[in-house]
Amino acid sequence: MNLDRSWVGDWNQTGSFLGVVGILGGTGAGMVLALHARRNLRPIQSLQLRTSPIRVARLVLRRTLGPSIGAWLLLCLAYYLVTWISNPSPSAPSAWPLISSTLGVVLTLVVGVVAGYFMHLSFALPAVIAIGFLLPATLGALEPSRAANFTISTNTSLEVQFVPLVSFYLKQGLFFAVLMCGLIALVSFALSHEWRPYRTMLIGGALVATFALVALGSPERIDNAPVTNSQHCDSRENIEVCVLTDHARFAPAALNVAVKIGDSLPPSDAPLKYVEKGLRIPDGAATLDVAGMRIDPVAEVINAAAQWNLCAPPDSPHRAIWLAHRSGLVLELPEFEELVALENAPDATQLQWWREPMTSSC
Amino acid sequence: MVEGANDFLVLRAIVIESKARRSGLHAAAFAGVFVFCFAISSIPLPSISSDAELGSIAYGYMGFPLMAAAIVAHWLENPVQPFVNTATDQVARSAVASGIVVVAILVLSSACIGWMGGGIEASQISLENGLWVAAIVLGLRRWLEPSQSAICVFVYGAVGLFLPSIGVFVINRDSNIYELAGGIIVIGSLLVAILYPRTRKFLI
Repeated sequence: MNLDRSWVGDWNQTGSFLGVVGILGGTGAGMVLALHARRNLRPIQSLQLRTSPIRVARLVLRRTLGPSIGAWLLLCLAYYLVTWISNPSPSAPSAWPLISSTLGVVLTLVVGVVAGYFMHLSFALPAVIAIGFLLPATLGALEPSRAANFTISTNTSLEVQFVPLVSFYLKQGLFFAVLMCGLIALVSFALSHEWRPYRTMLIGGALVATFALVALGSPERIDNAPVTNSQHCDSRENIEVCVLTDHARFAPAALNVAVKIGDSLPPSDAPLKYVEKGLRIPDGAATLDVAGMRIDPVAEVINAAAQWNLCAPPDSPHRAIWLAHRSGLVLELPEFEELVALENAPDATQLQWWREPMTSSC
Repeated sequence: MVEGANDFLVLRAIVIESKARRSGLHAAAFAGVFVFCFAISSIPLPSISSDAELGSIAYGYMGFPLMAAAIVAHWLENPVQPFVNTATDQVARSAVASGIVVVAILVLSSACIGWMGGGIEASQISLENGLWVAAIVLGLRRWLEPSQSAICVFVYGAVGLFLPSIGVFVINRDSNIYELAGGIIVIGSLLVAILYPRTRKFLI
């Protein structure tokens, strides 16, 4: 089985991955809660007439939302336990990814209960799927990742989860929390028959303000992340690879590729040091992308070497594949005109082509 | 009883049933879901190199059968229950007819969403998803309530995300002619099984 285990050992990725799990699990649980709320509609309504709304709310919280939230927290505990066992010394651990994931999941559960209470199931179940699954998944897939502020779904274009940007998770969590509180407040007013226009305006204003705050902020990228010194370095034959301790398990594979690249090129044409973003990057080092390391360390090292010492994006898009072929990692080159011509050219011409974008002055 | 009077009673029962099942409400929900999913499927999502299908899951054409299944299942909630005690061939025929309605609604509308949102290729995936979702709704009708089978349908939609390396589960993201044929055969056998008294009792 080729399950996605990239979160194992990576503290901040664990929190983010839990968010993606929560989108599916939370939606499933939200649907069950909607069903539950619909079934118990009459008993709850009759209880409402006899007791205070606070007691009804407490009952709903204890009997309906409580078990689901408890199950979610147990799941989080299990995930973090596995992560802690495999990596007891994380680079930059943060609770924020977990907090915003949990808020997102609880919001989905609340939507499930409210939808079940107020709508026929033919509307409630599709509404839960739309709000809990379709919208976050679509927003998470959009590029640029500006929309990622509104979803706990992650993808490769969102590079913030490894070295957590507190401001990102703060805004995301704030959005979920305000949405949830607004929903609960609207429902409780509707149930207590104390509908007051100024309260509604207050809630609406808070929702709009949060939405604007989250939407108008610039998209957060890893470049804005604080630098950490907690790193893991491997070196062989003068070549060194330094990664975040969360990614220490990728270091041997990355070093192997780095050494192969170093062997295939003259010393001045290939980087001697590779450092992952989020760490302090010395002069002359190639930078490894955090998201790329998690997905494919081999490809990431090749890309880092192909982009090393370039002032501007290179004219040719084939540097990485040429390098992979030269260092023996790819046996056959794809049949692009430029690559076929290069393959048949003498070694000096090939190296000249490789150096050309590097020598241009910045 | 004469033949004509019997037909009249069945017709009357159908009219009452369709009122009791709030057809207008279901049609409204269905239209809402259709528009919503079309809106989502028309957003161009970039393909992600590591998992190109991850983005397509979010498309309306994947989400549509998931959402529509809940509505259709509720609408057809035990449509022949009043007749089950006097199960006859007529009951079986009406069950088959309602099954064909489920399949037709889900398959045609999801193929339509897929075609509008992503062209012919998306249309084939949507067609398959429509068929399998209809098969789940039909196959589980005897055992689960509509809302419970809607949750099963959601699980069908979600497994492809979690277990992409197991071929069976990628059924909802990947399209090929065998899966299409498989879906048609499963639905065909469900409908045929309703017609035979021995297998009927397990399905309606």
